[in-house]
Amino acid sequence: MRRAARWLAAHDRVRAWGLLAPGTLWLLAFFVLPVAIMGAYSAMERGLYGGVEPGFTLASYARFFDPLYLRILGRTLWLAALTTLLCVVIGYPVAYAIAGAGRWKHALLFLVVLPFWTSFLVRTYAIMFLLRDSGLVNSALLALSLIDEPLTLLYTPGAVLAGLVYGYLPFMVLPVYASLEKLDPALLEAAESLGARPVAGFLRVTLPLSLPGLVAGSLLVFIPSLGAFLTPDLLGGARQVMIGNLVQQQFGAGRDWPFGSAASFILMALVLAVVYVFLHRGAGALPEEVE
Amino acid sequence: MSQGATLTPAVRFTRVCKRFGETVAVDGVSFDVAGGEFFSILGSSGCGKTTTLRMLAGFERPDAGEILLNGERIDELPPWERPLAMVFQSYALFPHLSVARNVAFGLERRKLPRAEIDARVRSALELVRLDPGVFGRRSPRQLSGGQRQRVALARALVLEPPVLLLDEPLGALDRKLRKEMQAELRALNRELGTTFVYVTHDQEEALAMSDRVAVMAEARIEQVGTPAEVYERPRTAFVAGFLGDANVFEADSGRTVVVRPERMRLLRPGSAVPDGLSSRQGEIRDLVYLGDREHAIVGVGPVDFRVALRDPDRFEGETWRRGDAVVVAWRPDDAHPLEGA
Amino acid sequence: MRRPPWWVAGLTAVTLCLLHLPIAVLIASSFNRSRFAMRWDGFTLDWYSRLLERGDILEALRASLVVALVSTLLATVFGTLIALGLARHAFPGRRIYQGLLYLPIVTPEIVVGISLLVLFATAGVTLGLGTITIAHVAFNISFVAVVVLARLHGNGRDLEEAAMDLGAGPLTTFFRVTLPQILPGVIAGALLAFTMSFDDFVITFFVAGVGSTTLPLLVYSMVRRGVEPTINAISTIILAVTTIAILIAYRLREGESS
Repeated sequence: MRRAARWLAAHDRVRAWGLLAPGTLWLLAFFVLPVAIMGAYSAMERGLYGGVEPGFTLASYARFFDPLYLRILGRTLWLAALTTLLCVVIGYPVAYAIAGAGRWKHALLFLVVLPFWTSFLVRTYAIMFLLRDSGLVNSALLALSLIDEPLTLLYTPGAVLAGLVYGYLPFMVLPVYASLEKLDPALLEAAESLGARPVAGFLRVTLPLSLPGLVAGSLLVFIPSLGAFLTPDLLGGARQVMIGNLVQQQFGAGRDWPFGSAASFILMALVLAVVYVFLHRGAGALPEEVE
Repeated sequence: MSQGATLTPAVRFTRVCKRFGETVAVDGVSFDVAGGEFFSILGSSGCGKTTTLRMLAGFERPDAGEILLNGERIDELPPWERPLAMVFQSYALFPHLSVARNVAFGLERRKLPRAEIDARVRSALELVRLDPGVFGRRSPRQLSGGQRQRVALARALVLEPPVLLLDEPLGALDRKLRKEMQAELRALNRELGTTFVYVTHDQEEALAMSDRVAVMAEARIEQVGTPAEVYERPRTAFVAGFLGDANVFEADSGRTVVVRPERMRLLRPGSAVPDGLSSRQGEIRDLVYLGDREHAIVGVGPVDFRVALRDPDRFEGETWRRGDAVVVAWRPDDAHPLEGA
Repeated sequence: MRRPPWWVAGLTAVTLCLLHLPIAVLIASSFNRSRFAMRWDGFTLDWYSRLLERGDILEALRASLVVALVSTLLATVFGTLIALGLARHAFPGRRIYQGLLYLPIVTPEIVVGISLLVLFATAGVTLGLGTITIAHVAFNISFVAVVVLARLHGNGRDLEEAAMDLGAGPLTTFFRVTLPQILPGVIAGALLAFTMSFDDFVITFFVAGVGSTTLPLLVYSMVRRGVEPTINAISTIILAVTTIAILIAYRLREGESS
């Protein structure tokens, strides 16, 4: 035992790999392997009762060029982009306000983060509850005599958008807040002492220096939005289909596992591409680390 | 103290007060700064000197009193409308802009032609002895502390402000660099004729660079005067002690006086005390070696005197040791009476 | 940072209210005798008591808790070990490994869920609570590792070295020095894993199979069938459980940084 301990102490690498092994093996078996198998499936023949038959074919990927599916892809990208934009527009001022809130900072931050930590399903359902024909929004509008009959708020692109923004807004607020918080107040004062008015100070100093936070936040909103499944499912109905829903259909009623796998793979490729672009090109716009 | 009744001071504070919650940061501070003067506000941390400077710059609003710039009230003006520029303690260089863009920042707002901005940036950098060709395109991160300090200076000076504010700009530099920069700042002040208002806690710095010094303590100004005035004729024990080593004690006349260590001499007991000198008897309690000089701590009754030993004392073969009985002597003229306590 | 202009502060206040409005309405409605949000028919706990009558809900709750506890335990152990390995040892490929660790976090849940379904189908494994647990461990390892790693970066090896210098062997050092140091981070990671497991829908949806159900799955099927106040009651309970977990995590963080 002693001898083993001493040997281990001397071999740093072995210790390192020993620590990493259990988790890594689990991840290899239950993350990497499944994705690989799914990749293989995407290039195989469709089985009669679901599942796959052996045989190499790229037909599933070819099907994706059908306008129907391209439209789904387009809608997914469009909704994800719009969600990100809305989160920036709504989230930046919130982060700015919190960063300047003095001793209320932590309390406010907690208020922003709290909904995000609670169940996504529950929150999406809460929006459903709010937007349905007999929900609070319609009831209030009716009571105020602003409308005669309930508006169809649910099962619209707007509802999906609302659900996505509602779900991912904290992901934008937190990184932007982090980069604003690090801003040296002396920089703004220096700008002012050099003659810059408040608006100019914001545009020329605050905004450029909070760009890293914006980039990170955009990443954290755009990517999950791309893979959204629950939100379009509950809030969009059958009409607002995004890639996530498409994938689910193929493994459910559609019984087209290769196509579903292909769609899933395309989604994953999309996500990785976005991550790559953001991190490599975006990193050029970011200031380098000090020292 | 105003320079002369006819000349409008460049800066005038009249009974300015500022409090933060319960704390009084600045309590009825009044002073004038003449045009072109190098004026230092000297004090330890927390005395209110930085708050005073920030009120001049416009980052804090006074609760009472007036601040005048060239005869006009500026307390209502926001910082960007005040015709002065500030060099910050942390330099506050914009990390996302190059050195040249940093220096050009204040100019760009004025909608000058590009060529002129570039020319003025170049000459500002040359003024602080940074080669524009080499440093212009660098990012602040790539500069040393001393270089950043110069860029901060250039950025403020390029605007040709009538008054330049400096908030302990040399604090982060090492001693040698600090002395170099002190000389350069002094030279710039003379060359450009710009009024400098300089805040520091280093009394050596204040004495070396200033035309006049205001000593601040606990939100009030204790004394304003030339370096010689505040050093040789301090008004209070605080000022005396802050400006340098000081021996504060009750003279035979009953008044409290201050005598600087370098104005005192040590004599062997029994040797004749030269005519006219005051003296006391005591015993050497410690000897402090400071490189360029040596101090003897002499216990005289309940008080400790600090005496600077001069070379003649040593050359003459007089080597002092701890425990030696000595006589401390000084010229009565060098005992400066303090006001107040 | 400066105080924000009034309209920014106002916008923030409005946004924060809107952020909590849907949840507030949900919670309030769970105590409302009326089925309609606008009409308040009186306070009632009926919807909650009905939950107790529903065996399927209680069963699902029990399943969610069991899965969450087991998967949290495993994920926390694995994740912490990974974080320790990464933070304390240098080895070739460390940077790459660290980057790859983010993959499970970045990958859309649907992809993870589907691929696991494919795996289990290929291997002929019956879907059930077991597969759910396996899946939850898989995606939580990365989360725990990242959280603990963030805490570890601050701490140098000084304390461990001091301990060893004083005669403590590697195991003693680990249990008496390293572990107490990283414990807040580990607990934060564990709470995160618990929350994510308890709340998880998408991945669970695909690996649950016919026989087993967790609380989120049950809520989903109820929602599909139509809105009813009982769902509000369950939702409130789910919110309460996760909020408590988050509050604990926050308290720990505050206590640590002060």
